[in-house]
Amino acid sequence: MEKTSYIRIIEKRRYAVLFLFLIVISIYYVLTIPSNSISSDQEDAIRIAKDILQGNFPLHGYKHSNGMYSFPAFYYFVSPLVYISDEPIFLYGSVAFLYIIGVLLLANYIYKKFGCFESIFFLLFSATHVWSLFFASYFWNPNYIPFFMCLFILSLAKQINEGSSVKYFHVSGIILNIIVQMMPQTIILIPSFVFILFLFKRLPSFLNQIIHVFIQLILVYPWIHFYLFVLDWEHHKIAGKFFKNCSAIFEYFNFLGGWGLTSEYIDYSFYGTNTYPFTGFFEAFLTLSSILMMIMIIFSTYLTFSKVIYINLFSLQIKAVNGIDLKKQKLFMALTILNFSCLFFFLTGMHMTPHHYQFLTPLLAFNLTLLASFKQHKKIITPLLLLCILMQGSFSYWRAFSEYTKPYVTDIGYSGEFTQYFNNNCNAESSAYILDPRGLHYFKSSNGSVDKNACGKVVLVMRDHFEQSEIIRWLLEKNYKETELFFKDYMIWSVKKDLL
Amino acid sequence: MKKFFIIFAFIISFLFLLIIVYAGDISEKLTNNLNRNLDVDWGDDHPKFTKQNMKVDLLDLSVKWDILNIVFANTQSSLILNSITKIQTNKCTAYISLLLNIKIKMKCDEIRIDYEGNNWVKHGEMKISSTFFFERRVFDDIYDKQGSYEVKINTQKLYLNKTNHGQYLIEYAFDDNKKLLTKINGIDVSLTKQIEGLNIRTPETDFFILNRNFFDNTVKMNKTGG
Repeated sequence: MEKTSYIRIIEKRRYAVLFLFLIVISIYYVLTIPSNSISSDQEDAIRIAKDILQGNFPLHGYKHSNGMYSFPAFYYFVSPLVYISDEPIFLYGSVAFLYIIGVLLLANYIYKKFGCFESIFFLLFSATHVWSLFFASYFWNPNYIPFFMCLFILSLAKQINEGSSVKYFHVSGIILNIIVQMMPQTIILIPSFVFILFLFKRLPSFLNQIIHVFIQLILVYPWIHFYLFVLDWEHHKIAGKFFKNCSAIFEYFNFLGGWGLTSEYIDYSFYGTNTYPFTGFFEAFLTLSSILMMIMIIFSTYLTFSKVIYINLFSLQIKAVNGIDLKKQKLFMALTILNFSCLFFFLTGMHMTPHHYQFLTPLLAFNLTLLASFKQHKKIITPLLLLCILMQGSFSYWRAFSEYTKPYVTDIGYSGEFTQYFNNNCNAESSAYILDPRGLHYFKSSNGSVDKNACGKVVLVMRDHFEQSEIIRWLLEKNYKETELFFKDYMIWSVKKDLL
Repeated sequence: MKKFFIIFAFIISFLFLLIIVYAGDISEKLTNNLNRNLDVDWGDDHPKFTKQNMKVDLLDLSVKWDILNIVFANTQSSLILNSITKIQTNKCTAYISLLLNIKIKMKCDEIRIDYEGNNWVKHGEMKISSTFFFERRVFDDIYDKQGSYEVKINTQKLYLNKTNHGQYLIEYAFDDNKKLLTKINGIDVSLTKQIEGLNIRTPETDFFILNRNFFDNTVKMNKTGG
């Protein structure tokens, strides 16, 4: 009887933890998803997915900057979602939804296998990590990777620590294939995966390995077919080179801490964060969390490789650590090895940016959580990890609130609202321009009725931009007059002062 | 482990010996490569280089030349690059130091720079260029190639639009990928890349060169009466 009620309490606690995570992370996404813009990558993805639904099956995806065509798996994966709705808010939400599902599945597994402490830390990390939360807030090819990575880790954990490894070997391989199709750089996970299986003596029979090679070939066949039989090689140019720069190590560091997101204009994304006037403070704050995480990762790597014993070229052994559950130790080592494979990027000088590192999202959280749970290091690692979570969380949720209170007028959740506002206030002869540090750009014309104001050319400028840029103030004060109209955090300027 | 270090030291020593023995040949090869690269015609909108007696000395880690002229393409656009029309350098030696970080020390008898005049619009304490606009790639290109270098240029005579300003010492190094710190005869001048353009800060005045969008929407519009 007592045992049953104890189990019930444990169960309740598990659901309470998961539910709390769900509430906190939902707040983040409710605030940030409408504050994302839409660009050609998203529009192309929706168009291609619609083509698939009409029976036109693409053999490849968009062209990468190095001239190579991407794999098509992403478009096939999102086509059922586009079938349900092609509304950006729904599609953007689907990324966050799957991220949350992936994290919950993994957290549930951690709770069952390792306990409450590990599960809470994993959830805390996943609900606060700056880049992970940011990427899961919008629809883009690599942004579903954390969800698949959660599934991959689950499958890998079962393969390493549970009986039937063959089934999970094929499942892990298929998930890896999808991940690689969404971001080719993650191909480095394949040799690491093989090494892990070799290290823990979980490689399946040779026949199964051959079968799996065929599975992989079938999954990428559309792309191979395109390159072999369709592509016009004479006019195909590849711009890539081997050692491009040293960005990989800096961007890895950036991915850990998230300091790259403290700038408003960032590469390969709509916007970062307008942190004015706290930019320096947040940069220092997040750089410190990068350093702390890097120290923990280096320590994890040391712990892992110091436990590998070299017998000969075909045999390695692992040394069990006293007081640590062997299953936990093996999983910890596997995750560290996967993380360690990033060294390949550093050594080859590949051009990397934070979105290329998205496969690290659940991996880092789980890896550092396991490190903090080791009895020998708990006293030091736990406060360090908590400090990182606190720093990352402070910025992430400050950012979410800032995005909500100061959205861009071009954002998917606010563009329509502005159109309505503009039509209600100005007649059809009026047009709106956006002025930001990049310059003055046409935004849209009004469809308001003739009885509305003839606003003419109105200029929208965010208060933050007005305060931080002397050039913006100069341009406005020279050519326009401030009106009493405003939208969200935008001031509205016009050549005519008496608009209302 | 000991064996490994001995082999490693041996390989390094052997490489150094090879370099010393073949220094003359390598220098000649480097000289040919440098001259060939400068002779490449990149098209009408790229600068043209003319040079005389340019030589690389590997052991001295230096490049010497009697004359090196850079004639900038006159594309008639208001891009800041077109503000300079010609740079002539006479009797120069550039020494490269590889200790800790890369340092280039250049000594010249004479440097002549011809440039177009610039008009400035006053806005408070700031002067905004109404003649030229700035493009980020200009700054990014320089940063990409010289981001980790410290450069010191010492010339006996500096001619700016044919007026001799005497001896000049110009030093510059990038603080980060947004800021170039220079010292011109001991005076600090910083060039900061901003989204709005380029901010040039001297102890007395702030100068600003707008990006193309701001330039087109303000200065150019006023000129054309738009």
